[in-house]
Amino acid sequence: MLKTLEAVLAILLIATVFIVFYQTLGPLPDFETIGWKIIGYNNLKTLDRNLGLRQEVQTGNTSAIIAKIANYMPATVNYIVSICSVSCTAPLINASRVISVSYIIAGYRDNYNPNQVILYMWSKS
Amino acid sequence: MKGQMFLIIGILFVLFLILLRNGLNLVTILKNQQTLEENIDRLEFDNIRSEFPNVPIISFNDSINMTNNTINFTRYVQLIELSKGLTFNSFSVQTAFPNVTASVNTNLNVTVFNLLGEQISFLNLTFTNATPPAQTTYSNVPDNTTLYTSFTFNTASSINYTLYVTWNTTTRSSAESFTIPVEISRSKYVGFFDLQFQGKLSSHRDKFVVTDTIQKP
Repeated sequence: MLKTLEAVLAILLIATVFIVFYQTLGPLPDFETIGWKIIGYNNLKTLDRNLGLRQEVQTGNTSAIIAKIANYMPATVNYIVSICSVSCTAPLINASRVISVSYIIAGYRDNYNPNQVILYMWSKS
Repeated sequence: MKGQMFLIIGILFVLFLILLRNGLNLVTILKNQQTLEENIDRLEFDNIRSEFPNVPIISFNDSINMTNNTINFTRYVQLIELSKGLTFNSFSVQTAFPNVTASVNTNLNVTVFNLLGEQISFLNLTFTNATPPAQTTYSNVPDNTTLYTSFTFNTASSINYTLYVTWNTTTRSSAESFTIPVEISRSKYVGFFDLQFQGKLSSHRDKFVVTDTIQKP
């Protein structure tokens, strides 16, 4: 009987400490998606500087953009690219965590035609 | 004795939980998160900042297009940022002059664009090198407004002129000046930009001058 009481006391003690110290903790920040954003943004920037992002945006060639950034995206991430002007329709992606970064481009060569490239990313798992 | 073991194990586990909780330095974790989020804001502003000088280059063949496209792009960026719940404001003074002939009066066309998000209560443009020295003053310039004016200069050789710009609103003020390099037989575009961006966690501001030679003034 005493043994049971002591076991119950031990469980209550642990439960109390757990509730008091961990209840207020809240969810930890999601560093993974922040990392995706930084990687995605830097990939678009690099593509713009060295690999002809503007030309692809001008022609609306999203497949070419996806192919060009493929080697630099995290292996655990799925992604698609969308090109639009101001109001952009978000694609239907069946995933719980979808993030996006947008990169603004004013035009290409002598053609002023502002657009934004939106890179949507979500986890493969 | 065995029952007491439950209590002892329980107390040790509680101590472990407390140590684990203290080891989770939430302040540092949240600061790291904030720094990373601020990096994203900075990257976004870098994109805007680096794209502005491209607009006159893309529109290089026409001084009117250079100015109008830049104003259009400023509004475009504001719309994009607004759609993300972020704030982008700007103040710009764009100047352009046609091919300069030595010792002949030349017009310096000036376009001011207020997209500061508030009314400019006082705005002064002073061109001390004008012939004669001239200044233009405006009051109560609403947000999202473009103003046009011009000054005249006359030079026998290539020279650097300075345009002074002073503005104030009910909450802010600014006094700037920028160089307008004049070359004989050249037509130029010189734009001064003050860009302000309020990201999710951080604010960014940059003031810069863009100078380009115009192909078809």
